[in-house]
Amino acid sequence: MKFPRSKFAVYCVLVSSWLALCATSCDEGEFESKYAASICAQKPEGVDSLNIQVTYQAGDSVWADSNSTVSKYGSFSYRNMACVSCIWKCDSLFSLSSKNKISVDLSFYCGGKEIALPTYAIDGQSHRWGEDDIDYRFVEFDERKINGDFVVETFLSPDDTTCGKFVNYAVLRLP
Amino acid sequence: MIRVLFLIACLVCVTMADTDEPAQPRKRRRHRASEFVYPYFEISAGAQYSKSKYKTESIAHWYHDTDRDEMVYDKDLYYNIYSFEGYGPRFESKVGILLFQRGILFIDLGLAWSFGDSYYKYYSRDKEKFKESGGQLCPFYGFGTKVYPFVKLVPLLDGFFVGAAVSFLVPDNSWDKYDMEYSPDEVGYKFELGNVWSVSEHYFVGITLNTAIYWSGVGSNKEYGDDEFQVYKNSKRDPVDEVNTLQLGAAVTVVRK
Repeated sequence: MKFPRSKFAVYCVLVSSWLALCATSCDEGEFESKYAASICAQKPEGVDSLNIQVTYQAGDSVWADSNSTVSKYGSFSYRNMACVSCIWKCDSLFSLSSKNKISVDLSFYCGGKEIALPTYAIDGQSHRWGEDDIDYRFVEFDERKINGDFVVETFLSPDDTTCGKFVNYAVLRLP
Repeated sequence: MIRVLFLIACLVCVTMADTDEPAQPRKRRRHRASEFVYPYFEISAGAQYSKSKYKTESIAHWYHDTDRDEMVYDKDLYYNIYSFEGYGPRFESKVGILLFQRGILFIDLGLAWSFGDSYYKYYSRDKEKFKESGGQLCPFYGFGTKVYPFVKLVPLLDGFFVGAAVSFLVPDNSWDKYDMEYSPDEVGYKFELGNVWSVSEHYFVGITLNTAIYWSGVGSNKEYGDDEFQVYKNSKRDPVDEVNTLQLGAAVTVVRK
């Protein structure tokens, strides 16, 4: 069967238009996450393990995630870190409302006992993070050993001092 | 008559030939580079006093007081504090060119050995500091200029000189042992003055007084700190506006020019 030349030209135009349309709709911005959050906690040397639970609340929508680390003798710093992040889910959560709430609950475990730290709430209404990344680190603070830009927000010490006072357990915001 | 005319014509020709001949240019004396550029060598041996000081200003200003087990806010908090003070021998050599008997461009290479006490302290509020005694071997190198301003002008000051150089110093210490992330080299300026006396046509002997100031090879915290967040080692370094090393020295100098 012979394909008429004019029809072939029309076909080409249509395919090109479709490809162009696809390229436009597949623009980078479409897939770029508007919001991203990364919250990590470092297990102090004096405890056996650590658990971090992060709850994101945007309006009525709530999403919670948790992670834990049990490494006691990690050679590298990241082995003692437990992180929770909402790289892909943040967008759908935070776009619902401007009044977002993020709360972080940490627990230390030593000798089979759970020591809960006070809940740390990240102010979702604050203009400070807007559409930027939300980066927080919970670490034992010693400036000689911490590299990079950070702001000390506060110190979180457990009320129960069975495992230690951990007065230098700090909340660092990474700008 | 014809003979007379011929004679006149000949005289005119001779005269014209004489005047047309261009004047011979004066034979100018050619100056060769070797007549005002000479090689220059210098060696010095002497002693020096050296003082070094390093500290990094805290950004967070929070200090963990382990005695009371509480966090203390101190707006004048510093960390990675290092100091050294000592004396020792110093050797230096210079190689260069002497221009017009007066100015010198040189490169220099030297070695200083300082004996004294080094102190290492983690935080300015710490009661504990670590002392290490012994010698420090510090090589240095650089380039600069030196001038004999009164050569052939004031006989008494014929051998007087002043000099300045850009200098690089490689300090010797135990920063790694105490996890202090400072630059392994320093950059600074060296100044000297002295006088040499002739002992032969080309050789001179004299004394040199010198001083040098050095700064850490890298600059301030904000410029050179690594941005990547890590809980391991802080690579932020000392402030730029502080002289890190001061040297004062005196030496016997032998010059060949």
